[in-house]
Amino acid sequence: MARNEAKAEAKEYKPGQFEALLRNLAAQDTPPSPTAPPQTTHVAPGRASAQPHAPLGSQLSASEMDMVREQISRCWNIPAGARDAKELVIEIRVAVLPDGNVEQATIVDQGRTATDPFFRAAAESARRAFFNPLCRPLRLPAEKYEMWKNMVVDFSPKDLL
Amino acid sequence: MNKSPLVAIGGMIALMALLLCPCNAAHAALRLDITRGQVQPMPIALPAFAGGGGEAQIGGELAGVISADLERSGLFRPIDPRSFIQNVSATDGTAPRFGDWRQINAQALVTGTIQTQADGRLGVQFRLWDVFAEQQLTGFGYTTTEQNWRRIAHIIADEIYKRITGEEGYFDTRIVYVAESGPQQARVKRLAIMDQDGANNHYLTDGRALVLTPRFSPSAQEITYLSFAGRQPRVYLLNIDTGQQEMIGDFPGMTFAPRFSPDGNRVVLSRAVNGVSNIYTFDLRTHSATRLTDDDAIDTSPCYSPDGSQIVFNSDRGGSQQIYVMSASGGGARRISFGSGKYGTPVWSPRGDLIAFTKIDGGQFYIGAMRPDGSGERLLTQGFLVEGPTWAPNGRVLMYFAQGPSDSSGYGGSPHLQTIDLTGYNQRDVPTPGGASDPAWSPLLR
Repeated sequence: MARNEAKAEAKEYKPGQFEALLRNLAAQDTPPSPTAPPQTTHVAPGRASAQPHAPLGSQLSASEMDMVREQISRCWNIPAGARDAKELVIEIRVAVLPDGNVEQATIVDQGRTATDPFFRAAAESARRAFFNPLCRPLRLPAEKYEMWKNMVVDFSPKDLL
Repeated sequence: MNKSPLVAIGGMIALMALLLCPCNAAHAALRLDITRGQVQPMPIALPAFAGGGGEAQIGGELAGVISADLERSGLFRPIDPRSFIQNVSATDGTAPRFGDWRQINAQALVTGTIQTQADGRLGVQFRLWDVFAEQQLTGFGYTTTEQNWRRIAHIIADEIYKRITGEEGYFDTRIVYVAESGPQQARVKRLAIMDQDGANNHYLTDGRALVLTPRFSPSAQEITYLSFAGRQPRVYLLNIDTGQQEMIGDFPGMTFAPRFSPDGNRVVLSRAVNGVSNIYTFDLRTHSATRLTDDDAIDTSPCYSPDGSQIVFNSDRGGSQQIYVMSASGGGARRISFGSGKYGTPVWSPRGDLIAFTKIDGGQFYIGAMRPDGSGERLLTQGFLVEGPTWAPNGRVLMYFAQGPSDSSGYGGSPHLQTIDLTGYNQRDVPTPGGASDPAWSPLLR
């Protein structure tokens, strides 16, 4: 008996914003707009003030921060639609070499990594971002190496149903 | 000698230093928040499993089945084997040359071996590698008969899915559905069962009696369904292995829309008498029925929550057909659907967080999902006729049937099965030998 061929006619995934990731035919009949809403560029105030001794010229400018965040966003590939992803924050401690290549990326919450398979998968996807060829090297101003040789990067998907 | 006090004092000094000194590394570190990312499927390389002679062919087909499972999930993008640089079938489980796999943008790599053992059974092993981190993520070995190799492929696909997403897979599962053949006026409807990818299709009933709405028991060994075999439509039980069938209960009126309770001990169903339908549970051990609703409306399509404490159903008690949730013992029914149009066939997700439904609005059919309190309604797909969603066991994918309009001579419009995932973008056709409707997804078979 002739079997129907499995049609690989999957609708195309639109890479882009987590916020616009889930389709809702009631709200929109077209895929989410590829234009990204503006991303806030501030560093958490408490954390910014933790660096009071750095001379002004050696701090990363907003556009320099934006650039590297944009780059890391393009390297972070996480499965969509997971339960409780909205509450998820993954903290990765990163040691960067002067050439911008990440030498070491460590998942800070090792306890949860050991006990929660979804957190582990998401945390590993975040860690993997730093070894993605698109993020080697990270685009950071060489003259400000002291500012970024150690980084803590918080990944938080906001794609929840 | 006990040196623990020294350690304790040393530890305290270190702790005080951490608390007092503002100059530790954590404070100096640059802090970044990343709230966006890519949702592209993960590029994964799946070379043929290495084996000699006859195993080599199965090794290739095994990798092909795993690859197809992962690809259909929408979360993986298997890389074309023609672009592979390293021939891993020669490596026999030793660490791959990760540079070769990075070069073709593989983020994950699966290597495996297959060999016939002394007892004639197949031994299959696989390893999943993180190409960027250059480490093994997981690896298992299985032994099975040669005929069973497809199941091993699905089990391996589930392990890969689970390790990468952190959630259970759904590939080692089966689908029971109503196979339809013949012209519209004299339709033959048989129960059929197949693997979730459409392989191993076979028929469970001979087509002499019309059958509808098959549903799996939690063990996936039994099916409850509606059959027109007797004087009037009745709910039956079928044991898949033995083929034994029995009618559930023998009380006046028509019974329909059956579903098992999560513990498998009861079937919840509708019973119609004098134009009104109420919801009952039937205890399979004591053979006693309990009435859960009591009104002059049509209450039907009952489905338990995965913890067994509540039942979702649809009812026209308020005038139009809407979705309600009540206690599993009956009572406390509250309406949860408030959008425009009619709602039917509610099904509680196996992970409890959503209820899928069919919606009819403005002459269109939709498959959607909402939270159990009725909030967050989303419509995932639409069509001339799309109906009867069933959840994959991990609650990430829905299968349903779709049908186009018949032409003026009554031909065409044969129903077929489709899946859509919760993102609403990854929609696929499910292959069946002929027309197919009323699918039900089994739990994981293990």
